[in-house]
Amino acid sequence: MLSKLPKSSKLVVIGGGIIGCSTAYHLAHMGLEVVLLERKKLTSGTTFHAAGLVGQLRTNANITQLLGYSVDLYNKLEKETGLGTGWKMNGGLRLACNNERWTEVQRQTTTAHSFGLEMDLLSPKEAQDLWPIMDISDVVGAAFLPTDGQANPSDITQALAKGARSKGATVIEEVEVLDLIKENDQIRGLKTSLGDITCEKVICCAGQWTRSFAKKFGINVPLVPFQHQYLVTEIIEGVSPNLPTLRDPDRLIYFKEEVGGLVMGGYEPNPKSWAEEGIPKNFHYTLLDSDFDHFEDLMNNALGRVPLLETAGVKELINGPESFTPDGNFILGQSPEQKNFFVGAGFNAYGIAAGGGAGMALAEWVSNGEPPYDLWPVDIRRFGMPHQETDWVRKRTYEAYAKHYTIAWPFEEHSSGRKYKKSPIYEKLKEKGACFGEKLGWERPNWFAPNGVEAKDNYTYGRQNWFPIVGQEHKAAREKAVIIDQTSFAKFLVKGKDAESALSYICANDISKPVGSLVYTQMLNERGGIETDLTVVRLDEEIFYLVTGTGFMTHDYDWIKSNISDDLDVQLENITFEHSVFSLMGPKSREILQASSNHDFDNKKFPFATFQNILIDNCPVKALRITYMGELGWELHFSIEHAEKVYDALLKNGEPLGLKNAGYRAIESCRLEKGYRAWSSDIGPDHTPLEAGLGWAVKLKKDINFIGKKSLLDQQVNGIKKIFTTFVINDPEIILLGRETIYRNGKRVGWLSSGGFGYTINKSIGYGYVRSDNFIDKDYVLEGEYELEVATKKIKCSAHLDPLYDPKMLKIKT
Amino acid sequence: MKILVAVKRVIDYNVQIRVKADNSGIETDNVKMSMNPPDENAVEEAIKLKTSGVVSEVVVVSIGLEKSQDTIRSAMAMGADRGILVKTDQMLDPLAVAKTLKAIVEKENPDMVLLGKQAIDYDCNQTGQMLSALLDWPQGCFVSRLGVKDQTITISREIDEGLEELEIQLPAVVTCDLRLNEPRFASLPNIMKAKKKPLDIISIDNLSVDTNSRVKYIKVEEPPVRKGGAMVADAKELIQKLKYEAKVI
Repeated sequence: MLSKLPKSSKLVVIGGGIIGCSTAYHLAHMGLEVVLLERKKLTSGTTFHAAGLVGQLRTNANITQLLGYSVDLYNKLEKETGLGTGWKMNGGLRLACNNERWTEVQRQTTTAHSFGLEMDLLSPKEAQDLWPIMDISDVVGAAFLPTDGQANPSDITQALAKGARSKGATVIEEVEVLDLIKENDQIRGLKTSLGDITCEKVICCAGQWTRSFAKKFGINVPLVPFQHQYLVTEIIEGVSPNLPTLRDPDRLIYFKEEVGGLVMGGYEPNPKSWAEEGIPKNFHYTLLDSDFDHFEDLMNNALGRVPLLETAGVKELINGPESFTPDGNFILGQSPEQKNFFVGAGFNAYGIAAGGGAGMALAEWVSNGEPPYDLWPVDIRRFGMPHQETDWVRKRTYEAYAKHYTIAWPFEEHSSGRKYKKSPIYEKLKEKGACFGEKLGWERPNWFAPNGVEAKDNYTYGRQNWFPIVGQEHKAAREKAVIIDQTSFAKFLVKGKDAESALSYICANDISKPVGSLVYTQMLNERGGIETDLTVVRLDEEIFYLVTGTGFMTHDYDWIKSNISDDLDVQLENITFEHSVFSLMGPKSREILQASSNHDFDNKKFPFATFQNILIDNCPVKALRITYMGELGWELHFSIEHAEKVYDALLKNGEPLGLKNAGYRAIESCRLEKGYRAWSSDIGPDHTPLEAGLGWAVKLKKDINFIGKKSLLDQQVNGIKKIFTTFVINDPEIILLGRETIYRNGKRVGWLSSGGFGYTINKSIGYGYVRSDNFIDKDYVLEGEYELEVATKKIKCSAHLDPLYDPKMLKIKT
Repeated sequence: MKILVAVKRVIDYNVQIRVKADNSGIETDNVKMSMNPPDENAVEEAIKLKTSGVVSEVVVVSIGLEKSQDTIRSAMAMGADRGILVKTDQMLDPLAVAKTLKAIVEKENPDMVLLGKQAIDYDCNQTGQMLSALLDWPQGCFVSRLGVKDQTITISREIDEGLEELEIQLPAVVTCDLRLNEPRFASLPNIMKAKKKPLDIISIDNLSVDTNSRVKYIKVEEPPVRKGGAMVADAKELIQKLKYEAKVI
C-alpha cells in the first residue's frame, strides 16, 4: 500500500516485522501518535520465514512474564482485529534423554512454578500419549507446559498492524529510512525515500538490519545474522492439529505441526553466520539456498525421534537468516549513545514468542522513559567494550547459537571471545593456578587450582570439581586473608563544583560527607526501585570516585549521566580501564598491609567506611576500607601500571601470614553468608531499599531531596508487600542455584534470586523475596513455615532477616 | 532401458527476481535456488517408469556451476540412480546446452532423454527441440501423458488446439509439461542416501563442444513498476479514459 508520508509524528517506528508492528500496536493503544515505516512490505524481512513457536519459560521471571503477556495478547488478538493469527495454545513438550538433562528439566519445571506457570513432569509414556508418533526408547522423562503454543508469524503481524491502524497509527510500506535528522545531538526527525518526517523519538525494530543502520549514528546494537533452517514435511498420518510443540534438546531439534505435517528445525553445533560483509541490497521475501549437508546431523536426529519421517516427503528446507546476539537474549531499550533512539531487535529466533510482550515493554519504555518492570537481561545497557567489535560479537554469538539446546550448566563460562581484556597481573594469576571466568570481556579468576589440579571447571548439576577448593579459599578469607583481583570493577569519577549536589540528588544514601569518607549507596528511580548499587568515595571536595559491578559499567554510567542536569558543573569520567583493584580480605589483612606500607592501619586511625592514600612499595594506592565478604579488609585501587609491584609486595608480606589467592566464587559464598545483596539478581529496579532490607542505607530522615524519596516515604507510611529474606537448608547435599520456589505455610510466595553455599555455616543459602498481596512486616516473614521447591521436590528450610555470619559486624569494624 | 534426464538449477519460483545493479543480469547471490519445476516432472516420470520396471537406470545430468550438484542430488533423492555434472562457469545459450547434452547422450547411449519443457528463468523453450535436431531423434514436446511399450512411446502433448496423441519410436527426446505428473517430495532417508550415489563431474572443456554464444545480452532491466489503479464512477468515464488516456480503444 502506498501512502503519503506525514510531515510529522511524535513517534516513528522503523521496521514492519512482528516487533515493529507490536510496538506500534501498543503505542497506538496508549493513545500516542505513531507512524511505522517499512522499507518493503510488512513481514518481508525475517518474520515471513519464522517458524512461529511460542514458548514462555526463560531463566528470568520478568522475561518469562513478558512472554506470558504475548500469550495473553495472542489469545485475544484474532477476536479484537478480526484477522486470523493461526494462534493455538497446543502446549509445549520438552524431552530429557539423560540424567543431567532430566535434572535440568526438573529445575526448569520448578522455575516455571516459581514464575507462576503451570508445568508438569511426565513419564516417557505420558509424553508419548501427547505425542503419539515419537519413539521414546531413549527418553528419561519429559515436561509439559500447557499454555505454550504456536502462531502464524505473518498473520499475527498483519493482525498487530491492523490493530495499530485501528487505534490511529499510520503504517507506510515501501519507504526506506535514509538518515537521522539531528540538531544539537537531539533527534529531530528522519530522512526517508519519501521525504522528511519530523519526530521526537525513533524506535528501531529493523531486525538484522539494525546493527548497520544504528552504527551510522554511533549506536551499538550487537547482533549478527546467522543462517537458520527448518524443514517442512508433507501430511503425515497421526499428526493432529492439536499436537503440542516438541523440544528435544538432546537431539538439538524441535517440531511443530503444520497443515497435517511437521515442521522440524534445530540448532546446529556449527552454525553458519551470514552476510559478514553486509546484508545484500533488496533482501526482502528472500530465502537462502537450502543447505541439506549442514542440516544432515539434525535430520538423522529427527529420524530417530519420529520414525515416520522415513517415508514422509520433505516439501522444503527453509533457510532464512535472522539476527542472533552474544548472550541469546534480545535487545530492548533506549540507546545509551543517543537519547530518544530506542531499539527492539536481535530476537534469536524467538521473535514470535517475544513479540507481543516486547512490543508492550518497548512502548512503555518509549512512553515513560523506563520499562514497565526490570528487564535487565534484555536491556541494551548490558553490553560493554567487546560488544562494539563485530568479530567478537560474531564469535560469541556463534557459541550462543551452538549452545542453544545444550544443557545450560550452572556456573557455565563461555569458551569463545576469551582473553579480550586481561588484568595486568593475569599471567601471574595464571601461574598461581587461576581458573578464569569472563564478564563483559574481562578475564577474572573464579578459583585457584592447587598444585596437581587442573584449572578447569567440570560441569554437572551435582557439586562441581571446584567446590571443595573454593571452600579452602573461603576458609582462608574467614581465618587468615585472601587477595582477589577485582580490576574489572567499573570505576567512574564525578568531578566539578556541583558534584556533591548532583550526587546527593541521585544517591539514596547521604554522600555529602567529609573528604575521606566512603558510602555504600543505591541510586533509585522515581518508583523507589534500585537502579544502581555502588560505593561512593569522596576523594576531594569536588571529586568523587564511584565503584560498581563489572557488568554494570554501561548501565550505571548511563543512569548517572542521564540523571545529572545539563546546567550543573559536573563532569562524569569512566576510568574503568585505568585503575586496578585488589581486594585484601580477612582477619590478617591489617597485618599484611602494615607489613607492606608505612601507613598506620590501626582501627582508630583508619576506621571502616573511610579511604586513605597510602604507598605500597612506593606505588600510590587508594585504600578503601570496605568489604563484600564480611571480613576486615581493604579494597586497594591504583593505576594499572603499579599492579605487578603491589601484588608482589602483598604476596611477599602476606604469604607467611597465610595469605591465599582467591576468586569470585569465594566472594559469592562469603557474601551469601553475610547477607550482601547483588544488583540484577537480589536487588534491582523492581525492589525498593525498604523491601530489600536496605532502608539503613537511605537518608530518609535527612532533609535532602533525592530521586525516589517520595515513593519511599509513601511506602514507609503504607507498608511493603515483599521482603528480602535469607533461607537456609540444613541438608548440605541440597544444591541451590537460584529460581527455586519459596513456599510459606504451603503457599507459593516467591522464588530465590540467588542460591549458593556457605562454607562456614556448612549449609546451602538462598535469597529471595517473600511476597504477598497484602502489606507485610518482619513478623509475618519470621512467623511462617517455609519450604523451597528444588528440582520439583519441596524441602524444609528456615527464614532469616539478619545476616547468617557476624550479624553484629564485629569482624568488619574491629 | 535407460533414461537420461536433464535438470537445471534456477532461482526458486517463490523468489522475487532482482536485477543486478549494473543491469548486466539477474542477481543470483544470496538467493534460494532449486530445480526447474518442469524438470521435476521429468525426473518424476523417469522414476515412475523405473518403479514400473520398464526402465532400468535413470541418469540425471545438469550443466552449470559446482552448486548444480545440489540440484542433481535433489533428483537422486527423488530416486534417480546417478548423476553427471558438466561443469562450466559460462552462461550457455540453449544451442550450447543442446550440443553439450548431445555429447553426454553419445557417451551414455540412453533410449530416451527427458527434459522440462522450458526453464522458468529464461523461458527459452528451445533446448529439447534443438537436441532432437542435433541427434536426429524424434521429439515429443509439452508432454502431459507418457506411455512406453517396447521401443515405442505414446504421448499426449498440449497444443493450442487441444491434445495431440502421438506414437514415437525410440530413441527420442521428450519435454515434459507440468501436468504430466505430480513430482514427489524426497524423504529424509532418501535425501541422505542421495549423497552417496555416484555423481561424475566433467569439465565442459573436455567435451569439445562449441559453446560460443550466438546471443549477446545488452542489458537486463526490471519491468516497469505497476502504477496504482483508479476508480471510475461509471462506464462512460471508463470509456473516456480508455479512449483518451490509455488510448487503447
